[in-house]
Amino acid sequence: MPPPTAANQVANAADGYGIVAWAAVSADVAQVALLRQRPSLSPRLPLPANFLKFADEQTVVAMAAVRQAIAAHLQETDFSAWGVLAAPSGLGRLGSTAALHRVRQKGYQLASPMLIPHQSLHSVSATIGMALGSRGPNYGISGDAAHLVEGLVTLLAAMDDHPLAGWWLVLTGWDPEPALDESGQCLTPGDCHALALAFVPVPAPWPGLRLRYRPGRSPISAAVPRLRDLMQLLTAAAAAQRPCRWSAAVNGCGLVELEGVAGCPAPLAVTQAARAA
Amino acid sequence: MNLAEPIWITGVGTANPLGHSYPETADNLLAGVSGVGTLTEPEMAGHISRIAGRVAPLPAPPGWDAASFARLDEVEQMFFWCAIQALRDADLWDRRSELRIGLVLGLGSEWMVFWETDLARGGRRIYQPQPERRGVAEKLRHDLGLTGPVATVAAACASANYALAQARRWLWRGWVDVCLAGGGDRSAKPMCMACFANLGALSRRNDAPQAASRPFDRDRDGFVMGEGGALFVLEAAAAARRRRARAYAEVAGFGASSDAFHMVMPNTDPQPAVQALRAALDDARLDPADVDYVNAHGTSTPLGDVAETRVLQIVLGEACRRIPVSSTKSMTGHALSGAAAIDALACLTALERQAVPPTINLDQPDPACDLCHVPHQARPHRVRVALSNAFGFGGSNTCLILRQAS
Repeated sequence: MPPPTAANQVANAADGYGIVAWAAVSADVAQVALLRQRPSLSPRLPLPANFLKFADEQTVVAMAAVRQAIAAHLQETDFSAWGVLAAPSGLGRLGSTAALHRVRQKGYQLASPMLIPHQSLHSVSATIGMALGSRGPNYGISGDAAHLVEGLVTLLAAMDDHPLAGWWLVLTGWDPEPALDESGQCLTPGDCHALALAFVPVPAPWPGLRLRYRPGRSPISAAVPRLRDLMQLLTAAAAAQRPCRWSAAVNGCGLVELEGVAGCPAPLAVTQAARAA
Repeated sequence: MNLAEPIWITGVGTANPLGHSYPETADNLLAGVSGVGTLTEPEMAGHISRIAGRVAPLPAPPGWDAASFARLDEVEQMFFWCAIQALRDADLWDRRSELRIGLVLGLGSEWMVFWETDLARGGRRIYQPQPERRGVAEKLRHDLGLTGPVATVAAACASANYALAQARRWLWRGWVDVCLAGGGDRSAKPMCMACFANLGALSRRNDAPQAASRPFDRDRDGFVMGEGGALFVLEAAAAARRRRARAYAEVAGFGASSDAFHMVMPNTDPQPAVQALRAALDDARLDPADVDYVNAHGTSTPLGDVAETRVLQIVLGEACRRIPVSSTKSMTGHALSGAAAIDALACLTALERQAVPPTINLDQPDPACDLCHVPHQARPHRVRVALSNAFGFGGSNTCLILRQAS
């Protein structure tokens, strides 16, 4: 088992992980261009202005969601001992279309060396982890319509394997997805969405959102949940300061569930209590 | 399930440049055979790097209709081949409907390869919205009738190590009875080759493909693209014993960290990678001196091999002088998302055959890569514990430890 680091002790003293901050961001293509120009996540985490120059649109919006979550509740947090997971859907379609068009027009010698590092499935988590200075694991999940469920069940396993001070899970995707022309320009409107969830070890009697797994047989091939629906549910529940519950079937073996008060009452106090524990 | 319950590998399926099965691959690894060749398709003319380790065309698996298998794309063919072979090897193929079998794929470039291939065939799927798109993991689950959870994970070249760790955790959590896990890639395509070449990462030894991948050698000039992958059947040791299954190895330890340094470049600070290796050793409850073989990430890049050497020297300490280290990417090329899975095959080979596969083309070891190398030829060696490093773009550091099952 891992050595008893300070982070491990925090995780072991608490009763699982709860969401202490979250933010949902949606942006159309024009808004993504604006977000790309302001990459820094907080005054404590400044980044060069070109940090997101080559990033996929989903990475740009994911960074904006992380920035909002930090601004809400985590401005003093040190993320160096955190892990970062990101579960996009359809990542890289706009960038790949433009890149393939470019090489068809001008030859492979003009293929961008930045395409693969910034459009592959790991690129969202890697960009966020680098921006935060996070030394915990970072990896990408899914890439398709099942990204919500795959992201959450992967996070549960990752939390077991690496008891850290905290975890980010960032879910991203287009809804609606735009149709593209051969150069990668959008022919129809598209909105890019990101939901950033910050998990830390929390004590048992905690009213905020908590991620749970409920074992048992569950349907196979149930309809996949949509990111936009989850974002709307959390946003409405937070505005009303009321508990909410969201669940989704994991193929054949149970449910993943988010339950609690979406507004995260006094999340900073809880975070500090978990740290002290 | 008890977290102390060992998790065993009881089945193997693979398609890689050295073969279409584990025994064939093991034979070729120990014989020092190179699977690297020249890419001859017209689109590759003029490319800076025109060499790669490719998978020979796959036949339809036993019992499959050849025409329907041929309609699958290359990535799908590879994973179907590996999954079916692994389940048959584990003697679980006919029992798959009785068991909750999960699937964790390490695969990072699925859609880029899919879109490029489709476009090259005159398709237009990249231009059209596909909000309900499902990847190869779901296709495998559906078509093979698997009734456990599935996930795709990606940490570039470290993807398959994460997949094996996640499968082990799913077994410990009791979510699955059996889990298929591993990784693969088919990225030796014109676009991917051009991107890596323009990054300066690929070898340019087009005139000597089989001598191009030369990890730790003074004259190395970049990695050679590889293709292929492997899937492993994982199950709890107690369950495997009850059905008298063959145990290839125990998945004994896993560690991971991130550099938070650069999207492409290896970190100048060895500490994050050191932390990943030490976490894997702690997880396996082993000391560095217990390691009998290291399958290095060893991609044959000038910076990466030196950085890994430093990490191994720090973690293994004095033992580094006697623990044999080899990079089998010298034979297979670097299969990106599939690399760690193929490297795990090399570790299984060492554990099963009690011999260490060589680093071929290691004519003049780089003085900055001072390790206990196994150049050119396999070496008989007592191997009970094998350690496999996999580092990836995005600053991912992972280490997997496989141990003889007992």
